[in-house]
Amino acid sequence: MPGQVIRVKRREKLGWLERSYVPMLVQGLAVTARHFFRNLAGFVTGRRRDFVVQFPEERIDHPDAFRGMPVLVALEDGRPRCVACGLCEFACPTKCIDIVPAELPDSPVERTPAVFDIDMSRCMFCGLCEESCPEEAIVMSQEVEIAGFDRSSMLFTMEQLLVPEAMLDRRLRFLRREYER
Amino acid sequence: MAEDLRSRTESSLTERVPDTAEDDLGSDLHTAHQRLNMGPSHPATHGTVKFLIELDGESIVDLDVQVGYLHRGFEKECESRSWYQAIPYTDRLNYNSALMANVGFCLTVEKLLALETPERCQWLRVLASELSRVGDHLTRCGATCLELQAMTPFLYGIEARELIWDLQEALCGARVTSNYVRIGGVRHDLPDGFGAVCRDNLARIRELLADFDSVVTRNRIFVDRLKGTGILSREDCIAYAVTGPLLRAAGVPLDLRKSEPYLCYEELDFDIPIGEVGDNYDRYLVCVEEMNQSLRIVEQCLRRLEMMGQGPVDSTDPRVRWPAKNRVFDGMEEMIQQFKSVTEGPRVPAGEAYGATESANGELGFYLVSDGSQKPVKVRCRPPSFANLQPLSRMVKGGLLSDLIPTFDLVNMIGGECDR
Ligand code: SF4
Ligand code: SF4
Repeated sequence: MPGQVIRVKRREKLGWLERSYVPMLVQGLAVTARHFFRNLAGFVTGRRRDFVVQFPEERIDHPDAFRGMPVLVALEDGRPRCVACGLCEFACPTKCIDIVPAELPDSPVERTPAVFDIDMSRCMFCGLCEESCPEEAIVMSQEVEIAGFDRSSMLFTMEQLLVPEAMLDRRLRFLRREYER
Repeated sequence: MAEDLRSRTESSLTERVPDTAEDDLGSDLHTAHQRLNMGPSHPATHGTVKFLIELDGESIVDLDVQVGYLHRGFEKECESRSWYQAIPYTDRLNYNSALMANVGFCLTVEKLLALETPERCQWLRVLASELSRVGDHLTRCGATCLELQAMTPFLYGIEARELIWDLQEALCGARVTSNYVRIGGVRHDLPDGFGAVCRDNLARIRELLADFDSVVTRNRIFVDRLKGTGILSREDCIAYAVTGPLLRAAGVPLDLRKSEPYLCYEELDFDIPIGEVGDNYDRYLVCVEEMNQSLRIVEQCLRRLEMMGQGPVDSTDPRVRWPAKNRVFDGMEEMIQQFKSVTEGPRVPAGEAYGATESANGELGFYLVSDGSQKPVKVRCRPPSFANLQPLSRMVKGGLLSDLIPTFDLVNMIGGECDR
């Protein structure tokens, strides 16, 4: 096994000049000034290096893997793709999904959820529902701005959760990459 | 004395205690010890913990640490769920290095299952762990500076941690609550273009670390505050079962990545930094050096993963991994398998196992007991912060009250992990 044990160098012996605080004062100023001017230059040229996001005006583009709130995939006719099999209900560690199935006549899938509620105040965005779904019907979106004024507003019903498939394209493409493991 | 203090925890904020000092000068001046409650939420400590301190003027005569304010029943929570559902809960132990708790838990379950994971999965786990180790140490060193009133280096540390968390977000889908590792694998492979972004960020982290170093390491104020404070000798460290950077700062070269290599640490080239005296300055230096070593490991992992080319990241054992999705969509057999795996979860053979990993704070162990059913019978977590916090009173006794702050910061007690 390469690598060895090394003793850290204690650089605690300070010369009289260093004990006078002056060199550190200058060095500290130099470092902070460099950061300041570099951030300023980035700000002026539009290639910003700082991490501040001017929130409501500016938003971060999350990576593909990002897990926001879980949403339901809506087919073209507006119906959910979900067949109310209840697997996500099982997989959810916080038990925040509530499904009531119903029959769907004149359709090969035969089942559809009559009720599909997710209690977002309990959901921990873990993504296990998405991973367990055998129909690609529930996926993690990029949406995280779901604050509400009371607990009842955190109960999301099926109508609130349905998102057209086209809008979830990015996530679905990311997921499909993994399907052929 | 500690016993005495504990029996009177519900004292008022400050209270006079009859003088116990025996020296004549003390009794002449009628000085009295003062008892001070610090915490549970004190602006100068990061971490929810209460100190009951007995002070003689400004020096600490005795200190009692009271933990448990963040107890959420993690162990019971895991025991009431199936094995795979416990993984998101391990994210919530140490918010700085959730990935390492993921890895530790899954490795222990795999030990019970006697399961081998594919090579690529192991390298991905190491990559993820080492990234979070850097993030953890950055927080530790940054917060120490912050609480010594040095705001600037703290911001550099946090900027670097932000770069780490960006990488974690691209890899796992969340900055903090990673939920990335699975029993027998990982959630998914590296995202496209991860290597380039990672190298870019690593270069910037190195720059920030250099700036951090140049403003504090030889700064007289910083050196004076850390040097010779919070000393814990090598013998005491061992007696109190202290692990991690604290133990190494005291000069004991114990690192589970070297002494009991797990995953693919055996093939990696990295050094173990150790200190001399075990004071706060040594702890700081050890952490900084460990960050450099971890960055080296991340680079080696990246190189290996790129050389290896695409490959499976999951074990094919049907007991633990859910079938590949496109086969679930098309095949009846796989569909049934998916239903079985999700509703039942893996059935782990009866037995018990203890798995220890070297997390950023020290030895993070999981002791799991299974009776062969869908749920663990016992999930016991050995949190490094808890053991590392025990000798705090020994570290600060006789020192100044103000030395408690950097000592506590460098112990890096994380409430979520310590109290579970
Ligand atoms: S993301 Fe996790 S907690 Fe939220 S609904 Fe899905 S499984 Fe449940
Ligand atoms: S697992 Fe998928 S198909 Fe089944 S109920 Fe949940 S969302 Fe619907």
